[in-house]
Amino acid sequence: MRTSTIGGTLRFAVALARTSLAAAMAHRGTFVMQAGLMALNNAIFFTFWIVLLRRVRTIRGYGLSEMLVLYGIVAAGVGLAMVVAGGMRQLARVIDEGELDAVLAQPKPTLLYVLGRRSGASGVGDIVSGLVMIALSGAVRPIGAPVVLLATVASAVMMVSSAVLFGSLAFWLGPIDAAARQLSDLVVTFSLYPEPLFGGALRVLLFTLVPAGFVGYVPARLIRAPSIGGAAELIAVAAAYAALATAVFARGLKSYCGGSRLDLVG
Amino acid sequence: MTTFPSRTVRGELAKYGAFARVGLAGARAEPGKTYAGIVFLFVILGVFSALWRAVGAGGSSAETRGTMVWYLAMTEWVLFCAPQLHFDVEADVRRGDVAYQIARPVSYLGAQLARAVGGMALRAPVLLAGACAAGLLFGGRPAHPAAIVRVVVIGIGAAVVMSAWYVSIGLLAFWLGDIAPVYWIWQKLTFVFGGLLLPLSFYPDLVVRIATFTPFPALLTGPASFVLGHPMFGTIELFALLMLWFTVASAFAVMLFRRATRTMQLNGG
Repeated sequence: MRTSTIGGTLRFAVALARTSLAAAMAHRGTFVMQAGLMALNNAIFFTFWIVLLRRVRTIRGYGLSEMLVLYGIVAAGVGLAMVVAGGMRQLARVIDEGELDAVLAQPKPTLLYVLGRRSGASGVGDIVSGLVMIALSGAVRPIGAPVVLLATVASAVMMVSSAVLFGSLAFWLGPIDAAARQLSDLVVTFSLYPEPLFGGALRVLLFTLVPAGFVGYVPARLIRAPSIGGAAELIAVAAAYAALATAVFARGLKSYCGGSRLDLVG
Repeated sequence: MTTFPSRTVRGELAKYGAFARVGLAGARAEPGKTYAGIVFLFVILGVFSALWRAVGAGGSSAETRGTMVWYLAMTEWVLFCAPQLHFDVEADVRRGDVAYQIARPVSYLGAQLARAVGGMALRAPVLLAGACAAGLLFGGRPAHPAAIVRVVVIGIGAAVVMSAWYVSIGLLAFWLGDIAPVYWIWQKLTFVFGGLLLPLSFYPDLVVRIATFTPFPALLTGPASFVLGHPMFGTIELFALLMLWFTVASAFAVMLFRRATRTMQLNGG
């Protein structure tokens, strides 16, 4: 019974992601442009590292290859998160403005609906450019593709989970949409710089409250040096973080008063 | 006879002054955006302070970690001063608000720019205080303190020119619907051609040569490079460049707006 419930939820999640992506792709021209521009966006930003690393070769052990893997995995992870859970960016606003009302009566988990009913077309550009960067790094052979896939999924799970945690604060704090987005952006910002730059208390923060370490550093490390232990660690942390985010959202939902809204949910 | 034109000019100024006050009130009503900018300034300067410590100021003997941190503080300050008008214009286009705003006896584009300047009157000093505090914390005392004054004066002009470009980007919503991807490209071009993170002199000659044909160097690296002690442009040259790019941005915005409103269709009431 329980297995079939989990299976049903998973099937629903896949169907929801597929529908949202199809909706995002409905305007083919806009979709291609958004995805292409996002890929170009990543390429332009990466020139910073090319210019800098031409001068200094390495930054505390990070050369161009390591930066390509790091930037690539963050782009792919964030892109995947945007494609399958594009609603994460609006979570705080949805909670604060009472938009949850429309999805509360749905038979499947509320959080899944809120996250999956939007898909960010630009995420496809992130995924493609991220994977190209990883391929160009020379650190991965074709046989390592499953590891890249695992690292990308784990990075995406961490990204979505942290966004859910930040967004769920709206249950208690109210209008914190901008702050929640900024915290999510902070995770991405920190994850794009070499890990050894950050020490002390900041390092602890980057592996806990602002989990840039698990969005970028740890998945990148796994890609460069695959190991069973490393993979198990990443899966365990991603699962624990996802469980925590789901629990916090569920807790907040109990205190949700609603916004007396009537909306149609497709 | 002579009073009529001057009264007209005064009347025009009063109209746009009112829009500037609306912008100021908007900035006052949403202090969160300004504070968020200050938080981001501290974060990014902290990250780059660590980065420059690790690489020894980009391997450049000419720059110290302190000057590089101050350079970044100034480029980020100019960038944050300019309100993100393009998203406001995009929202106006999407909601159809442009249609009723063009009936007013005031230029839609001028009103947007006046609102931006009004908002800047509050944001610029507050963000400058934040940028200087972050600069002092992560970069120590600036090597050329007097240069900060020059950066501030020219930087405000640069932020106004940037706002004029933002209006043009926003107007593209008439054709594209969503202007975010165009803004991302603009943003990333400011990274490279504007020398947001690294002075333009760090880039290969070809990039520098291409950049000189764009507005970006005058907007960011131009003003901020005063703190490096070897500015990219002289003060007068930079001022002239900003005037030139303001004219180009305004002409471009007017052209886009005329083209869009010529084909605009009104539905409903």
